[in-house]
Amino acid sequence: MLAGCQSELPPGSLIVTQSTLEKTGAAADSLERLYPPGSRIACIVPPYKAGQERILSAGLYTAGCPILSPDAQHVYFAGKEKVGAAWQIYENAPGGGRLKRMTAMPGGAMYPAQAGNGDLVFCSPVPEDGRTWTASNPPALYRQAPDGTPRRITFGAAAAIEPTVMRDGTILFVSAKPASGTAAVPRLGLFTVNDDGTEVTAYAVDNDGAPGISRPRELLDGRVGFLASAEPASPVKWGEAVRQARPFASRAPLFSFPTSACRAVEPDGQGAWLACLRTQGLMGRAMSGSLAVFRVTSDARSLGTPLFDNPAWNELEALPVAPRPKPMGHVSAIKLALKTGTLLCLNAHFTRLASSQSSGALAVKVRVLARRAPDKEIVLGETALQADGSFMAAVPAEVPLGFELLDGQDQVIHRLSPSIWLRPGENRSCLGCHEPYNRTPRNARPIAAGLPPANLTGKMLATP
Amino acid sequence: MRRTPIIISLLIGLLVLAGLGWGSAAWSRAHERRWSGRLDLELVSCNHCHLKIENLPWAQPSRRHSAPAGLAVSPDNRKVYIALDERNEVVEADGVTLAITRRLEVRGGPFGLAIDAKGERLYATCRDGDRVVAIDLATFREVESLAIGAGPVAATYCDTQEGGRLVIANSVSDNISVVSLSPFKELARPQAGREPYAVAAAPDGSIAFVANRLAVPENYYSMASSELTLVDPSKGKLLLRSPFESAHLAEGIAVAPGRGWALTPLIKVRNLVPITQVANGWVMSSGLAIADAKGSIIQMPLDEAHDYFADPSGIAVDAAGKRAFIVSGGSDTVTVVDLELLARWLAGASDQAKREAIDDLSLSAEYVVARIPTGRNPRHATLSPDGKRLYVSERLEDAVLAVDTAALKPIGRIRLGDGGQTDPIRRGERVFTQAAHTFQRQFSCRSCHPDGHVDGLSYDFDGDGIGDNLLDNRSLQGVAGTSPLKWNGKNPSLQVQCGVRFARVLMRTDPIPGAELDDLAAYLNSLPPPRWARRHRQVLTPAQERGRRIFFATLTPAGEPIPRERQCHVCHRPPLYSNRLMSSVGTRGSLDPSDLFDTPHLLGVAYTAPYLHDGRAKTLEELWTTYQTNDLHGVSSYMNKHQLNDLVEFLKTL
Repeated sequence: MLAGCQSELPPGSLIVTQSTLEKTGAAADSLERLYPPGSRIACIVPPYKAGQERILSAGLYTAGCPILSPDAQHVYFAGKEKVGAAWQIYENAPGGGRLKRMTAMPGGAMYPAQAGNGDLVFCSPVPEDGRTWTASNPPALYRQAPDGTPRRITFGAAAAIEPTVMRDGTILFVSAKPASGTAAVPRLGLFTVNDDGTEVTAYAVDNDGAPGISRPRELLDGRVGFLASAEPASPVKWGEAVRQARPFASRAPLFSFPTSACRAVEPDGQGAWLACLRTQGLMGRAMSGSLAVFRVTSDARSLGTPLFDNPAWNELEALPVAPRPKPMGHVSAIKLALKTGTLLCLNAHFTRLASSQSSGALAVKVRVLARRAPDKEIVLGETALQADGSFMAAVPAEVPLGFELLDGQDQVIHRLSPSIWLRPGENRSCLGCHEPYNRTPRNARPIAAGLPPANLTGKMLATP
Repeated sequence: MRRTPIIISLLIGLLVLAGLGWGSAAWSRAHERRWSGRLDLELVSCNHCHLKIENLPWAQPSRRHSAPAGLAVSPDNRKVYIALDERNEVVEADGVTLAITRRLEVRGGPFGLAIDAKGERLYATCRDGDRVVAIDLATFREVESLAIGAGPVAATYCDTQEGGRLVIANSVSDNISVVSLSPFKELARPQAGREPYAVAAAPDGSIAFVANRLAVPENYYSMASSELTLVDPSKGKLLLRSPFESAHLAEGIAVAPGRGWALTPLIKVRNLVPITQVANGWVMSSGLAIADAKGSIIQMPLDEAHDYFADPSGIAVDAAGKRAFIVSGGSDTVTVVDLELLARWLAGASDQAKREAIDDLSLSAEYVVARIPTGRNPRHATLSPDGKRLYVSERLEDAVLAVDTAALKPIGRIRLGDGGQTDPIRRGERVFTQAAHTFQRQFSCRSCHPDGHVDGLSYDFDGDGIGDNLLDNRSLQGVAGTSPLKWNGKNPSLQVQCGVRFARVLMRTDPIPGAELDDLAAYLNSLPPPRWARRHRQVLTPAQERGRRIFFATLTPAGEPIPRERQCHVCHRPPLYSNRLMSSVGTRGSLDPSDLFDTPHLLGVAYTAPYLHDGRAKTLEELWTTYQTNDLHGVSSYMNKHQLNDLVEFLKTL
């Protein structure tokens, strides 16, 4: 049964990532830590018999993190051709066919996703093992049209990884909040960005649980699921979710039963999830002890038998071969010929920070910072706050920007380390400084909007 | 050699053609200059001035659909009554079988329905006929008719100590008709806000609450608000006027028994904030206003952090005051609000939290307990008196959805028509009212253009940078034949206006596909100017006739000639009352990039306040008083107040 295209696959077919059970030592990079040598992408069809997988990544040294295009005609995944080679993104048909390399990124490419218009989204470069959150050249998100040139779309100071495209067309990804003090563990969170890199916004997770966050997915039941762990690098993960209606106030366990090591959760397109969980240690079960694929409903009180379990392999990820609605697109308004963007803050005094976190003094101006290199932060300039707390400034595009609110004695009241960015020609607004999440603006004309923006671009654009 | 005469003939022919072309161009240019008084014009198409109203799409007959409007249920829960304004019909359906049992022709566009306590009479407000009719439910015949204010769209019945009353919202004349039922006569017509659109009465009949749909134009850069009007149904006395702060599109209202609340779904608008994004409700969001008898209002959000329920309109509350059902015409949803949970949140909230509640998109999860999908464009909702059935008018589906309120599941539909899928105008209206084309379904075209008209607000788009002047939202009623569009005259057609540019600036998602754009344009072109059929060819009153002479004057009363380019009728040339050219009339603001603005047509101008490109003039009078431009916008400095009033009276007839 050599199926060459998706139309020949029976309903219920799955794409799975499998890795060997052998213990691996040192990994060459952070992705090889997740997908050790020999890992493969396979297609399985009902009744899901072990040993009958069709290998989609045949010929690759290792492979992982597959996604399926909305029309279910293409599988994209990261793969490595040989030992020492860089990870790149590959494409194949779900039922198997000719493997096609999609990227040629120096430093490698990982975590594919697909934007509403069909463009490929991925992360690059692939950091060294254990250096994802400390790399001097952290991975960023890129977007690449079919047979086109990759364009970088995130410019934060921290890594941006594991993107997934939501139904509304925004790209959800994992990144770290700006460093606070000397904290050794990065404060991971979920963020969204438009597919042209505009409007980067915190989406969920803010010091409200275990600090490790990975593999977010829209579960199509009004929630976003993700894997949580005690440490970002910890291999022991469990499922959690937030409600999209109130993402910052709804973090909760995904499963109502205990699980042992969860590697992935994907919606199955029929109201349930495909979860890859370790079978070892499950109550009263005599299973292989490897990771297997389970179908789990949201109201399940216990874990049933695996949908698919090849005892010789760990099933790391599973996704259904079924069409799903195409994400919305986004008509970009950025102007790549420009080097600046414009930032409008409606009221810099509006903050979610408790008064204990500030001196209580009233800010009178704002200092805008930019990060030129991991250890080089420059002051772009200062501009006065208007009577309503608003300010507007033209700032350099595509560099991490930070802000310091200053009182009349030039003392810093609040600080946001360089982290957000603007795309060229982007008009970006914020409600305040560390404003409460998910708030709408008040209907008032900001005074700063009637004045020319303060030009804070010169120092950055003039300095090499 | 034989070719020479042919070549010479061809050359002569070309010369003659060139001469004719040059002559035509010269004549056309002179013609333009003569009639416009302007020397700066290049050649423009003849149809800028020479077109016939009767050839415009909106003057052609169009298909009438069985679109349900107002609903009522008999006191015994067995019969459902449905107003079909486009078809001039009221129909009765069986509440169990959902089959239509009786039909009655009611002229004048029956829109709102109310039923008396005994279920003996049904009252229908006729939006286009400016009347309310009484229908005997035993015979299903129209038995009485009463002329009331203009554009009545909603009515409520209430028992007062002085007898039964109807309170009716007159959306065009901006007032409220209070009608006694025995005898059937209008007792009073108190003033309301702008476009009163929904009415509900307290169970004891002591107060009627009227929600007004549009915001009242305010001063430039000020926050506009629509109004909640409270009247005494027994005598028709105006009790109170209270603002829905920074909100509009209040199209429904219901009283929550036992709580003293009047609940109004509305759109919380943020037109003063530059539109740099739409995420986080930056442009607008949906809310629920909770008002009490003293006019105190708290606004609560109905949307979620990343999903919106656009164009909330109809609302029904159960007799126990426990649940409210709110339909969202833009997102085809019924939102179910648990009023107990809402009351609990309010009881624990500080005054500041209540004031700021509407801005917190994550709050609705506290009290919204279900979202029920519906067919296209739900607009009205009503509950059976026993509270077991919710009926929702799916206006562009030609159906009424029945929902089991215990299971919160649809159980069937009353089918009224075929949905009109073969009619491009109907398909276009579906596009117009659908929020799915906007990022996270935040708003539809209708959110700013209710029924294709204006919302009375000005917005700050960021396409040319942040902070340029606000732009007045123009009516789309009567838009056919008035291109170019936009105040800067940059859009040659509705397809361009509503296509990629619109997606980039406002929708922030995929553009509307081409076929749907054509349908959308067909719908917009089918919209006549407001109340055109009633005003067209009416005999002018003496004041209006005096105003007409001023409008067409070439000399001042003192006999001084008015420069041609400053005569009203030159730029605002009939029949559209626009020459569709850019003009400089001295209205440029400090942040405007140009002196030139598109000359708006004036058909229905009385209904489109505010005025000028940035909406700075609240009234027509202000154009020549507060915002008089040294006679650049028509020579008006000679006018006294009587002449100005006459001119305005004439403009109201257009």
